[in-house]
Amino acid sequence: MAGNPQATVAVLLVEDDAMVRGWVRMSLEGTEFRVAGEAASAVEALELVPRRAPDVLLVDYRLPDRLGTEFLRELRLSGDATPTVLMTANAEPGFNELAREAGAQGTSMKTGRSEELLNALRLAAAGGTAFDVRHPRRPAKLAALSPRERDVIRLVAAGATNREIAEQLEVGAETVKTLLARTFTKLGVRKRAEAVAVAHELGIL
Amino acid sequence: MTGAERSELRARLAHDLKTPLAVIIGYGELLGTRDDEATRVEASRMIVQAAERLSRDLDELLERLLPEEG
Repeated sequence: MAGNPQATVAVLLVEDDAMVRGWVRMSLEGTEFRVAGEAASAVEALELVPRRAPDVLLVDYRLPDRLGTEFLRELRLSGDATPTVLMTANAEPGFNELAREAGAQGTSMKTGRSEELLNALRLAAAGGTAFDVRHPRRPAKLAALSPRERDVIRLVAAGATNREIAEQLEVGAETVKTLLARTFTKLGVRKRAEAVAVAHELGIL
Repeated sequence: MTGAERSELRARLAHDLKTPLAVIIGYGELLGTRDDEATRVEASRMIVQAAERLSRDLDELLERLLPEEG
């Protein structure tokens, strides 16, 4: 089938739900976008992105093998800077901040409205940002955490020991203790499990 | 159930129920804006499939929350 010659912007879609993938494909028909590839999991996408070299990525937040933000962090660590829009089905407090920290250029809610999706993709593909304002802002308690302290809490949630955190962050053991103490104070907790629970509630994980 | 577990369950339920709804809205919108027959047939088919999935998911949710006695 002949393609649309105006469809010059390559989108790679990372979404496990076949119905949603079908809707996105159809919504992009007749626009400047073409689907350069589809992946149903983060693992598939990590393999496909470098091969297809898309202009923009559209990624579901709740993938079967990991969160979209985790996938994106991994992709950014590999050196890939493809503009990315993260999709969610519902408004989640702190989601825009979480997406931004993971390296996304935008967020879009799966409302079924084509124009909303297209606007987010257009802005991201053009080098701008498009964060959906319907996601409530991150609670103030969490906003007080520095990026380093957020890294610490993510590692704690992954079950890392102090030594492993030190290795991952390339800092000394004393620095880890200080970072943990500051993080716990800001979150108002005393134990690792409590910190992880609060971080979940606040949408950092 | 802890606060974190409750938040996660809420987010998952919202995801599972809202995704087919978004699919229905999305294909419904395309039905109203596209002229070609193949697209319209596919959109109609997907609306039915998504509605059936939503119905099944709602039945499962009701059974889990308020199981029938006996």
